Amino acid sequence: MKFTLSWLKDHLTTNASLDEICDKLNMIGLEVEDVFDPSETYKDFTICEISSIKKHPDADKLKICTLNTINGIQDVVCGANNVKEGMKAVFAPEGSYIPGLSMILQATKIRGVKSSGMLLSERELSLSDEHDGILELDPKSHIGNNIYDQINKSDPVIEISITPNRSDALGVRGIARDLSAANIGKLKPLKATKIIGKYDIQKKIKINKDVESNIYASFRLIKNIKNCESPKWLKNRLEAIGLRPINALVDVTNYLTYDLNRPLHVFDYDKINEGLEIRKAKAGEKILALDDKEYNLSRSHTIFSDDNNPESIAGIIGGKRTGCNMDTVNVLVESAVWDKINIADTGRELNINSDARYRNERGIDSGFNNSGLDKAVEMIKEICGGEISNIKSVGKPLNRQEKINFNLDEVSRLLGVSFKKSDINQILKGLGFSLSEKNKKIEITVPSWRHDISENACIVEEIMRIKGTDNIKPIPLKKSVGVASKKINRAQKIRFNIKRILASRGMMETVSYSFISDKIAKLFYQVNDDLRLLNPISMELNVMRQLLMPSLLLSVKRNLDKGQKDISLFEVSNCYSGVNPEDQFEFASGVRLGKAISHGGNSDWRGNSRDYDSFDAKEDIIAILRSEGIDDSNYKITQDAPPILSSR
Amino acid sequence: MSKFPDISNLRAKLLKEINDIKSLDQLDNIRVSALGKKGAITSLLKNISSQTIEVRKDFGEQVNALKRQITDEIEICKSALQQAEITKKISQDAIDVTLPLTNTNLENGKIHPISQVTEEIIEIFSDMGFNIAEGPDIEDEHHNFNSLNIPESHPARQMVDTFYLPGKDGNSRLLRTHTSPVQIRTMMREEPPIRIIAPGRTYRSDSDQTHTPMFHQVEGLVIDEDANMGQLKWCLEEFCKAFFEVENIKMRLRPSYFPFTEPSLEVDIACQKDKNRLIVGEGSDWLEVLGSGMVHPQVLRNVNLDPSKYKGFAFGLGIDRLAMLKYGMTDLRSFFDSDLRWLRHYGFRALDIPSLSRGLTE
Repeated sequence: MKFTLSWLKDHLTTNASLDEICDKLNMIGLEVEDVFDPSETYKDFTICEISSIKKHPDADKLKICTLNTINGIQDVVCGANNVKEGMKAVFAPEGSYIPGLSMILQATKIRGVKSSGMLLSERELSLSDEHDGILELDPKSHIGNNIYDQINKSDPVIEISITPNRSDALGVRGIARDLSAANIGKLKPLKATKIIGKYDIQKKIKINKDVESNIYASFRLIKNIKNCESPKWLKNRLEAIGLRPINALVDVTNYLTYDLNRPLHVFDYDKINEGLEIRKAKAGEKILALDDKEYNLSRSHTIFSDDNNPESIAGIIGGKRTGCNMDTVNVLVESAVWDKINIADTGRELNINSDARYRNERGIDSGFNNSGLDKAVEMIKEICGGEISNIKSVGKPLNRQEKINFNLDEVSRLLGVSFKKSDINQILKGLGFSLSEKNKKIEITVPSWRHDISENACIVEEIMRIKGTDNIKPIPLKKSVGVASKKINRAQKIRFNIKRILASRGMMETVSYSFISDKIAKLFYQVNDDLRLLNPISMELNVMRQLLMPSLLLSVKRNLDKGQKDISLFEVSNCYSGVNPEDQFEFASGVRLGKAISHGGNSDWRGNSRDYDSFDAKEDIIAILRSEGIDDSNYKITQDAPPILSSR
Repeated sequence: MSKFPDISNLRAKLLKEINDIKSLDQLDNIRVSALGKKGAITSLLKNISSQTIEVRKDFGEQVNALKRQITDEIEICKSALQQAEITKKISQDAIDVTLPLTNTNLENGKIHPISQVTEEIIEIFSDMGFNIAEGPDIEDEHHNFNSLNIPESHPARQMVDTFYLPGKDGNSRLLRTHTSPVQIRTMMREEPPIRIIAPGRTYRSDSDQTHTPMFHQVEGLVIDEDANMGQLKWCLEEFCKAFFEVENIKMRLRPSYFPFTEPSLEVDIACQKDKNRLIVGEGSDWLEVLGSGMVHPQVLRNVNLDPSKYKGFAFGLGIDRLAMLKYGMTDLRSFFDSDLRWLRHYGFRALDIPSLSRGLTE
């Protein structure tokens, strides 16, 4: 989730610095992934003028530009084609950090000519991929001024990762609300919109009984609009968070998705037929979606359709045929609450990852459905004009009023620290919870935008994260009285011992993947089909191993390929004879290869040289048995191999 | 004149013979020929009794003097020869200790860092009273997801890429994506109080410099009537101090989300880069080391524990990641490559067994 600082300040009155805001976001559970601060990134770059251009004496494609800069007259060698005398450009002095190249600019000579700095392209500024020439600035701009105003990049961009429970923080307003509850500023009231429709939508809209019962969808039509490019402020905001502006209708829906976490859809009213309906898709129905892909629908998918075709996969993606473009005159705007689980299942089945799915499967604010629609139509009317219809709603309006009887003692019981009741009340109210107290019990009403609060522990988490985890003080665990008892069992002890015995006998412990290639496994044993991965990461790792030996031999081969000669490897690990817990066995296996005694591959000075043989392996095994206190009288060595090794 | 023979010749002869001898054997021959039962000097002494008194006295003195002289000479000669023989033997037996050894097993063999770090972790947690639990790598959805409060359509299932197997007897099968199912198995099997850690292999379909399709985690679980977040914090602080072997550790608990804990926390420890070395425990950067939280009441209900009576906390940390932080490896993939050069460099000596009393790391 990306947003800019000024965008946040649309919803939050605050004097806090960027650093303070980011620290607080981290500490209330909205983890900051990245901060792009132009005032830091672009602080060294100023406006300069190219006063004269000479050809480079030694290179056809290079020019020597004499610049009028903040540092006086400077000569810079430049290869761009678009340089011309009198042009204003971005001057990067020596020692400045060039974001698009991820390097610090050093003083340099280019083909024998000293270059004191650099003129930057959009790509070098990390503004875009544009690298056809240097960035040309407004001819009226002032030499020596910083470039912030010239490039529309003065607004810091903050990127946070939102955990799946916090769907409410997928809108800038939700983030502002959290920050205000945590005393970083004050949440501004959301400007109320009051739309008075002038007429009813003519086409009928129904909801079929075959869809989930908790769906609620509202529509407004706007007639006679003039779709256009979005205003500059709106385009800037979308671009700042990495979205491409398309046209005002589409941009408004994208903007409100991020601003208020209100996913919306716009249909070109003239392209849809009569008989609009929210229903389950029929087997065999298809839709070409806005991502230019065709999807095969089935009975489990909820769609919005007209009497001919599916027009959108509800809450996930719109259809291409009825999408809006610059020629759209009449637009139908949809705002709906869908069934979270159905959205998740449909999205997964069809493998569509859209902003709408992302939000709808996590849960959006059902209490804001119609107000969100009104926000959208208001914005569209402001930009594109038009006449707004009355609202048309289908399905059951949801009034989620989850109530929790909260026991204040749960705070200290779970956290080991208690807080003042007044602080707790203030935090919860700041987050939008309402509280009423009856007979020492607090009844808490969960706001409609919070889908993650279901019981006392959830409330405690809210208090903890807003109050700050620094308040949690370490409390020692009780120690056992007397000398501690043993903590590892016999099998674990044997495992540790075997590893150290084999290592002390000159073997190298390896850890290899529990899965191997079935092609290799087949050479050693019959592969159990239950152990084949349905979605292996590669064909080299597609079955769970039934023995360690194939993995070890592959490791030996890799080492031989790297020029290693005398190799002794072992592994102590799990193998699987089936998929049940009791089918998991622990094996110790070892391989020795090459010379048991050698000196650089030859005999040693005593004249000794010997290859490893089976008796080295026997010695390894006997050493393990002896280390476990099993002496020679307690085992018998026979000619036949264990069944699992001789099964082939 | 005296009737007894002149002994000066005998003296001269014996002294010359002693002087000329080369070995202890020859010396013994001389001793026998002079001082043995039938030796020259012995015979002279036997003759004394047949002499007159005057002769006896004079002659006796001379022969006895000769006997002493020869005995002494033989002793001197003998010890000289013995010394020479020892010296000769010593010089003959000297070896060149600089010659190379061929097979030093203790140095060739190494313990893999994952085994070593697992034992370090066990050593620390066992001191805090934790038992070591284990569970199967091949799990079912019930233990890996559902019981842990991650139902099928939950977005959290998309947080991890799970490896699936065909399933058996109408029951799904998958490779556990975390060690958390051991929590469920332990709570189903044992009565509280429970204090376990569960190290083991875990699997996610992911591969890059810091992700491999198989990796290692250790799960921690405490269930008791009085378990709380303060204890969790203590436990993790004590662990990090002991593991990284530092006096103090700057730690940050960040609220987060895991479906099976509520409240949930991610734990960062402070760090800083000093040239190429990572210093853990202090500094201005943060390093995410583990996830944790209070066991979700729904998870307790799933294993038939009453959340109003019992509480618990759980945590999970990456063994491979801890190894990388402590011992400076940069590429996780090389852990599972079995490259001898890597194993020699990063492996641990066979007898370097982690122990709190002896110090965790040498």
